[in-house]
Formats: sequence, structure tokens, C-alpha cells
Amino acid sequence: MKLTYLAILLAGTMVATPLAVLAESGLEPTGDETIFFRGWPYKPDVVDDNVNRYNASVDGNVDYQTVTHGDYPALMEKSLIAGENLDIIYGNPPTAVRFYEAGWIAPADNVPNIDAIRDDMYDNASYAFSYDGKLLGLSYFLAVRGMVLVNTDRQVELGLQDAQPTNWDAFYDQLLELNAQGVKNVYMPHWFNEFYGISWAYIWEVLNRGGSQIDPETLAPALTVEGPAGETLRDWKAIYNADMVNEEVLSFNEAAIVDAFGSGRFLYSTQASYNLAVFNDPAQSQVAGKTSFLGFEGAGWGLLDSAMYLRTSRDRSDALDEDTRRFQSWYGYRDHEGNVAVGQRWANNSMLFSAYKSVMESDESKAAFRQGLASDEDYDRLLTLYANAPHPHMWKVVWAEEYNAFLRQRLGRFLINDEPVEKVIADLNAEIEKLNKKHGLN
Amino acid sequence: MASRAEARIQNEAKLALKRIELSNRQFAMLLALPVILFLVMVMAYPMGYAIWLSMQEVSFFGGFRTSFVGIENYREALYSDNFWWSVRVTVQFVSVSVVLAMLIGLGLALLMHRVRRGRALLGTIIILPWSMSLYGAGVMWQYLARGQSGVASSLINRMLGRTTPDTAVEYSLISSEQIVNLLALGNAWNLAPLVAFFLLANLKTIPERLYDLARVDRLNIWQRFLNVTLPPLQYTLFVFTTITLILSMKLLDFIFVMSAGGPGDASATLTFRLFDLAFRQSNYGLSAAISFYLLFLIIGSALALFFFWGRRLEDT
Repeated sequence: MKLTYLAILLAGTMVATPLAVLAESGLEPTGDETIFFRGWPYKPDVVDDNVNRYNASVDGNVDYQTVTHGDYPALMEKSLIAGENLDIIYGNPPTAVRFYEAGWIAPADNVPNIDAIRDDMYDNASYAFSYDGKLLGLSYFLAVRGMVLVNTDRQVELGLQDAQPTNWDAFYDQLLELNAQGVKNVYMPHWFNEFYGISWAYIWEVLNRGGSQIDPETLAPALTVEGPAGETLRDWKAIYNADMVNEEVLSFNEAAIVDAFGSGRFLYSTQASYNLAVFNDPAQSQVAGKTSFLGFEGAGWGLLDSAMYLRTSRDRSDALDEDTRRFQSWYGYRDHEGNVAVGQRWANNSMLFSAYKSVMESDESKAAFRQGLASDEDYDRLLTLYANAPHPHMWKVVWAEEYNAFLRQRLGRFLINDEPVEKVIADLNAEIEKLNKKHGLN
Repeated sequence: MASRAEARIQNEAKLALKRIELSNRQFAMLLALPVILFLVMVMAYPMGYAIWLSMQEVSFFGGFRTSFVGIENYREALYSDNFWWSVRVTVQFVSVSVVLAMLIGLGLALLMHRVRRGRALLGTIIILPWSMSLYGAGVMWQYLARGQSGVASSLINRMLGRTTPDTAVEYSLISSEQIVNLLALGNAWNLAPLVAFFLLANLKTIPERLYDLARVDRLNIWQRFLNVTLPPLQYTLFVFTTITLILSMKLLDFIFVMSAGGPGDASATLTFRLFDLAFRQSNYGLSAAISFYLLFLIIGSALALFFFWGRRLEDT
């Protein structure tokens, strides 16, 4: 009899403990209305699994779907204009700023655990995710985009291991020198035809050289022919006209430049840091264990790429609004068990950095990141590069996405038609002035 | 006297009959009137809205607001290099598309007309490209043409003797020089089956005895084609030239998927340009203005085609 009581007591405790945790977490939904969660199609199976876990463990009702391939910011903007039922969406910082200015998203300042979130967030991420003093969303990922990856086999073959460029000027000088020596397949640039392709490459190269597209205070155009903007265009034109880059790159997507560098043909390629895990994986690449990168030696390579989970400001019932905030916190920070489960999973499986110290400094993350690198030394070098990756000030301006679309086509035409640098700089400055005027900013 | 009166009555009756007899064109207009009225009703609002939009500057930021700019958007388009570049690309794309679609369609129709065995299977195979979604066709053509892994590019590289890893990617069909022609070929591949089946229906109406007479007159195969086959097909060819011209001018999805207007803006047709302006750059006013230039181009081209070709067919 005593044993029966003991068994009932134990069973009751086993059932009650998670319920107690759940009750204390404050993340369980209060109603049964559906939360609509949409994002771009990056590893949707993983996202689906995360959402299923949420639905199963806290009796949630989240409907997850991807937005079809294409220009995500433009597609999402049209969905928001059309008043679709959206609750949580992905967004890069310039997209988030734009959506916030349009009144389509609500800041994340009132989600559960906001104080813990702020304490746990690195300053660089907080800066990237904030606008007008408000935190626009919770961390999906961070990365360095535009770092120069090196195929170490080809580097040794060409005797360049002790001649690593330390900035963009030196980098292009070396490319042209190798080309003059008749070396083929030296560089696969980040000039692909997606919203974060060639246009972002131009933005980071100008930034890394100490320039900017706009004056941060007045938002007036700041591109000059003799300055970093003009230098970047001249370098691009030099390698393009020397037939070092195939024109087809301008119609690639990101997967195509990943395939190209993964084939082992190229010495250098500008890529995102999370692709290191792909290149150093023998199952996915010919350069596994041989993909390193140019380190930070006083001048940066690339920019701080990031994305957030944003909450829309559509009309919702109070209960659904509360549930959406709870889900945003569960998915974008700690789950009902107190773990940053989603962020940690991205770090472990995909080498995506997180805004949170608790993820980035965990042993799990360190081990996962090391596994994606060619050598142990690269771990510290990568973190140094990441710490010095800039967030473009231009992304704090409402028209950044419009300028980005213009830039993408303008740069492609500049290269194909061999247009004068002066003309392109004049056109870009004119476009910035036009956008400032359009949005009443200047 | 009586016969004169009868004649007068008959004459008046004839005149009355003439007065109510409609010409072919009038009869056609009468038949089309309900459809035209319906289209006007359905299109009046979007058309009116587009005209209004083309004279506004629109912003969604700081609340939805518009400001009247008159014909500024139309003027801006005319002074824009991008606009004229897109007009040029559109004209090239449409011209090549129409010529290829008609030639391929005619060739397929003749093939189906001549084949005796397996005609049903052949017809099924021929109709497949037309039944494919333009999105799917775009993906497929992109894979074919890619420099690194595309079958078509690989074959060309092989023919040019570029087979080593270092040289194999030197030739790609997705280049600024070839992309518009390649898109036109893909578009024609999609449209030609439709043309082929209508031409086939027309071919079936040509009496076989005309070919027998042509043989008696010792006409060779080319002369038979020119003098017996082609004349009855002219009206169908005119109609489908007009249809393929209009469909090609307003095509977007295939171009969006296959080349996204690139490399650079090498394949940015007017439809792609106005998509880019409206959906990526949120410049709705300018985009609406360009859409009217596109409409004028479509109507102008169709009318020119009728003036130089269709009208003559009608007269004969």
C-alpha cells in the first residue's frame, strides 16, 4: 500500500514539475488564436521543428510558412501593405527600420524577459537591432558578410602564405599581380544578383576603406570620385576588365558563389562567415579543412550581417497580442525551460552567431564554431574580425532598401558597360539626394 | 405600268435590306460589344487608379500619403537612361520572341500535319512546353544555360574545346550579349506549341486536291509551300503574331526567374523595370507612368501590325 502511495506521489511529482516550470516561465499562450510566423526559406525544416516543439511543449498554436524565393524585403513589404495576417516575421536591420517607420512592426521593448535580454545582448548587436532608442526585434543571427575566404591549398601552391593582404587596396594589387603572372581563378567576388549581393559588397568595401555612402548627421550623399567610393569602383573595374571575374557572377545567387568556391578552383572569395561551416565540411565541399580567411590587421573585411524576429503591429485581440509577445520571447530568447534553445541550435548546426553572450560564450558554441574552421587559431581570428565588423549607418535610414535596389542594378551596368567612375558616383549621389527629398529628410 | 410599280417596290425593298445589312466589321463589333462593355466596367477602376497613381508621389512612411506631381513621372521616365535602355531591351526581346515563336510554331504544325504514325504522342510532347508554368520554365532554362553546370553551356564549351576545369566556365550563355536572345528563345519555346496547334487546325482545312494540282503543275516543295500552304495560313499567322507580340511585351515571371533582369540590367525589359521600381524601390508613381508607356507601346505595335499586315488581309 505504501508503495502504491509512493508511486502515485512520484508520478504526480513528475507531471507537476514541468507544469510548475511552465507556469513560472510566463511564456505559455493565454488563448488559442493562431500566431502567423513567416520567414525566408533558410533551413525551413529546422524552423519547422523549433515551432513544433513550441506548439507541443506549451500547447501553442503557431503557423509557420516560408515566403517564396525572391526579394524577401520587397515581398514582405507588399504583404504588409496588403494587410496580410502576419505576426512574427524575419527582417534584416534596414528592413526593420523601414517597417518600423511605416508603422508595420512594434518594438520588442515589452516582451517577457526584456531586462534579461538586454543584459545578455552584446553592444554591437544591440546597436544593429536598435533604432530611435527602441529594440526593434530579437536575435535571429549575426555574421560577418564580406570576409575574404582563402583556399589554403592554392595559397601554398602560389607561395602566398606569407603575403596576406591586410586591406582592400593591397588585396586588389595582389589580384592584379597574380593575373599578370597568368594565374587563373584567383577571386570569386560577392557580386551576385540578390538584395544582399553586389550592393552590400559595395557598401562594405567603402566602409572598410573608411568611407560612407552618406553623412551620418545630415544624410547628405558622401561619395567622392577620389575617396573610398571611387577607389572601390576603380578596383572593381580593373579586375573585371582584366577578365578576372566572369560576367555570369552578376546573375548568380548566393548558393552559386558558395558552389563555385566550394569546388576548390578559386584562391579567394568574399563570403558570409557561416559558410565556413559549409566549406570546411567534407560532405559539402572540395576545400574542407583548407578554408581559412584574411584576418583583421587594422582594416576591416566586410560588415555585420544580422537578422531579427520582428513582431508586426497589426490589429490583434489583447490575448493574441500577449501570446505573440510570449512566442517572440520564447523563440528569440529563452524557452520555457530557460534555455536559449533556438539561438543555440543555429550556432551548433549552422555556425550562425547570436546576439546573446549566453550562446556565444557557451562551450557548445565554441566547439561548434571550432568544428567549422580549418584550424584552432582561426577561432580567435574570427571573433576579432567579427568584433570589428561595422554596421552601416545607412541602414538606419528609411530609404536604405530603395537605395539598395538602385545600387544593385547600377553597379552591374557599370561593370558590363565599362562606364566612367565619375558618372556612377554622380548617379549614386543624385539617387541619395532624390531619396532624401522623397522622404522629406533633407 | 404594273411592272414598273413592281420594279419600284422591289427596288425599295432592296434598298431597305441594304440599310439594315451590316458590314463584316460592324457585325464583329456588334458581337464584341458586350465583352468590350464588360471589360470597360472591370478595367475602369484599376485603369483610373493607375492614371491617378502615375501623377502622384506615394509614400507609406509616416503614414500613407500622396502628393500630386502632374506629368513629372512621365517626364522623368523620358529623361531616364534606364527607361530607354529597357525600351531597347523590350524591342529586341519581343522581336526575337515573335519571330522564333512563329517559325518554331509553323515548323511544328507542318511536322504534326505530315506525320502519319504516332501523331497523338507527338502532339502530347509538343504541347508540354506550353503547359509548363513560366516559373518552372525559368528555373529549367537557367539550369540549362548556367556556365558552371548548365548542359547547354557545357556543350558549347565542349564544341569550343574548353573542357578543363580552368577553362570550362569561360563561356556561359548567361552573358549580357546573349541573355536577351536566350530569354526570347525560352519564351518562344513556351509559346510555339500554342501557335502550332492553331496552325495545324488551319492546315487541315486546305483541300488535298490543291496539292495534287500543284504537283501536276510541277511545283517543287518550296513552291508548294509558298503558293498552296502559306496563303490560307496568313490570317492565323497574323492573329498569332499579334498575340505573341502582346504576350511577350507583358511577360515578367519567366524573366524574373531566369535572369532577374541581369546580368546587371542587361535583360531589364520594361515589365521588369516597372516591377523593380514599384516593388523594390517603392516608386509607384514612376512605375505607373512607365506602365502607360508600355501600354502605348503594346497598342501602337498591335495597330502597326494591323495597318501594315492585317488590313491587307482583310481587303483580300
